[in-house]
Amino acid sequence: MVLLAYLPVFFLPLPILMLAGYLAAIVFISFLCLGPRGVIRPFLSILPILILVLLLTPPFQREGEPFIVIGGRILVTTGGINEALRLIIRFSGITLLFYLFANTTNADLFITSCYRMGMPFNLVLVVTIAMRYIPHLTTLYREVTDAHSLRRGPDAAVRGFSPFRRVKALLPVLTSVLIQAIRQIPVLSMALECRGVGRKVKRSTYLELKNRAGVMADFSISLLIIIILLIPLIREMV
Amino acid sequence: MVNSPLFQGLDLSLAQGKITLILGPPESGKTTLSRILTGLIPRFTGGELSGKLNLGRKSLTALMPYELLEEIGLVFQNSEEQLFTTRCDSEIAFALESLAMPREKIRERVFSALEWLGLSPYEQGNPKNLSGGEKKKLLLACLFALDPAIWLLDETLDEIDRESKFKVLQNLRRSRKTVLIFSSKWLELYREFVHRFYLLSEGRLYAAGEGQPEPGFWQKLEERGLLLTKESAGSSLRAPLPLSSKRGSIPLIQVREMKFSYQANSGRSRGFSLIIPDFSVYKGEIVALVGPNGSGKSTLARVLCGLLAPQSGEILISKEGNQRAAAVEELKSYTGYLFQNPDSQIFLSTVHEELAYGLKNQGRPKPTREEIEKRVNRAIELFNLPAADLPPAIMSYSTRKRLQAAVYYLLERSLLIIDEGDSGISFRDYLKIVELLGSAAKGMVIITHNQELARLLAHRIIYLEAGRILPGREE
Repeated sequence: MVLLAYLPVFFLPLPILMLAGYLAAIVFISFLCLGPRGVIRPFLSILPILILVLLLTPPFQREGEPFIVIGGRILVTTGGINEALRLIIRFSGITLLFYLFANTTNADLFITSCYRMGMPFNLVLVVTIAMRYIPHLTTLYREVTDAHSLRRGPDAAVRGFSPFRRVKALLPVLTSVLIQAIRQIPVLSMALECRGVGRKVKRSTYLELKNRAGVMADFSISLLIIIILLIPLIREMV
Repeated sequence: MVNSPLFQGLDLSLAQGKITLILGPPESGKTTLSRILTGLIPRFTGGELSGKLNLGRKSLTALMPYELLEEIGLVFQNSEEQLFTTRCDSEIAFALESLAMPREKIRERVFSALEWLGLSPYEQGNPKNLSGGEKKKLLLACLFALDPAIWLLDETLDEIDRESKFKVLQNLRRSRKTVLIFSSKWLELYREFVHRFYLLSEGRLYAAGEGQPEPGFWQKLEERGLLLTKESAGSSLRAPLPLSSKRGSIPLIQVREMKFSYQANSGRSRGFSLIIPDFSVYKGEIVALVGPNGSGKSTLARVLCGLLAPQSGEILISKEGNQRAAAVEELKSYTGYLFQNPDSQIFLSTVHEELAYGLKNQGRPKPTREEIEKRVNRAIELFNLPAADLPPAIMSYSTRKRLQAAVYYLLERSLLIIDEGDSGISFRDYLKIVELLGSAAKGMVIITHNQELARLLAHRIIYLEAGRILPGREE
């Protein structure tokens, strides 16, 4: 929860260097908590999008000084590069924060904390199911991919980097995952009612939030950091 | 299927403090009946229900399933459908939270429930990382903690190891719980623990004895393929192993000095590693892998079919009379693996698509459309599958299992591994599957908790425990 409080910073009109420094801090924290894989994996997953942003943003952002001029035509300006970098930092930062959150926060504890903060149980349940089923969909995707791969012959494996072939191979897998996910909806409802979802009595909680003072301290420090980061912006406005 | 009644004139009364067994062949309506008794059907599925359904003086049809929480507890046939939290202890606690039970009391019950079936090491682990049998145990632990007046177990005991089955039934009998067990096969354990016997067949429920089954009961079970005997095994019985298969010949598959470990963050509270110095299957051989839940049977199967890569060791296969190391991708087309849960392998929209998919993706030479149609139709006939355009999603669990088997029948893999294929289906269906798959493969590995079945079908039985083959226990 504390981690997610840092998200809005990426949307503030802060200098690029400050945002880059902020991203570097999050990369460092991710490295400490999850190791090098915890940093590389999320970046690799969004790399194609980052490349697209880098290529497509400058042609549509023409402010600033010319940066790349070919045959008298201004192709890229400093404003365009600045904007592309800002978007890349924002996208990378948000991805890293969510990845860090998902891998360091126990879903059940998160749900318990939401419930204890007064969130209605039905909403908490929706979040519980979503948090349970997003990784479940990942597992489902892996199972379906495994099942597909076991049915293919040795010559039929998808090879090479042809994007068209990879997308074509992905379609039956995604269709299967969707079919499986939809099939589970009525059965999930049955399972939930069998466990008492729908009763009018207020639920108790099994998991206990430990170290409440520590959580409040973390939250306060986070707010303080955000305020400090906002000082240059406030000065500029004033 | 549409508009014809599933049950007619069905009379059932559960005696308090007794264990009742309803045996029924596949598609007889066991799962439907269990869900009717908990108020889930027709609430979630539609349909017409007539007659009286009472719990004491209360009418069940007037109550919602969540209002019956303390009265009736149900374990689904497919455990994946009933697990929805990210921790085992939270899973057990969920229903108790619905009852607004105080935290300390929940904690007490959760710990007792985990300890009851040996799940304490997985207390904070993710249920999705448990083996199939462990998931069933977790669901039983949920009921144990909740302690409803009536327990309904839908094909629950199949995937649980023998020792745990005994423990569960013994505990239920001693604590004088009112239990209703649905099963598609007879197990000898039932003789010791069950008080009342019923047979569900063709929409009717036949009382078959109290204390002990009536004399005619066995014949009825055998007729419906619910009883395992040498006679009922018939042509599925293992053929004598040809002498040439074992002495001096190359095994179909051989594992040497293999080690596989799950990563530290895989969610298991205790590290698990599979260490196999030597394991082999010869041409024409059926090998049974048995062992307690979580012993590594499915893990070994996944290594043999290339879904998991061992950290060390080698896997050798036999091709054109020579033995050589197999690459992971090569293993996938050499070994066919029927998952424990057929729903993990059935994912297309019709029976025809499921059966044709593998045939269309075998690489070169690609079979013609006519060849594919011919082979698909043949498989539908052999495995007694319903219409080719039917969606698997509306088929019963046992039919989906037969479909899963038909898929691999068509793929003609050299080695086939059937993981707990006998769970949730009758002996007749399972033996038919083994017979048909045996005709399509050169060797087979069957993973089962049923030792009688293993003795009847397999040339060798290998015992696995805690990731190791038990020395001196190969039969």
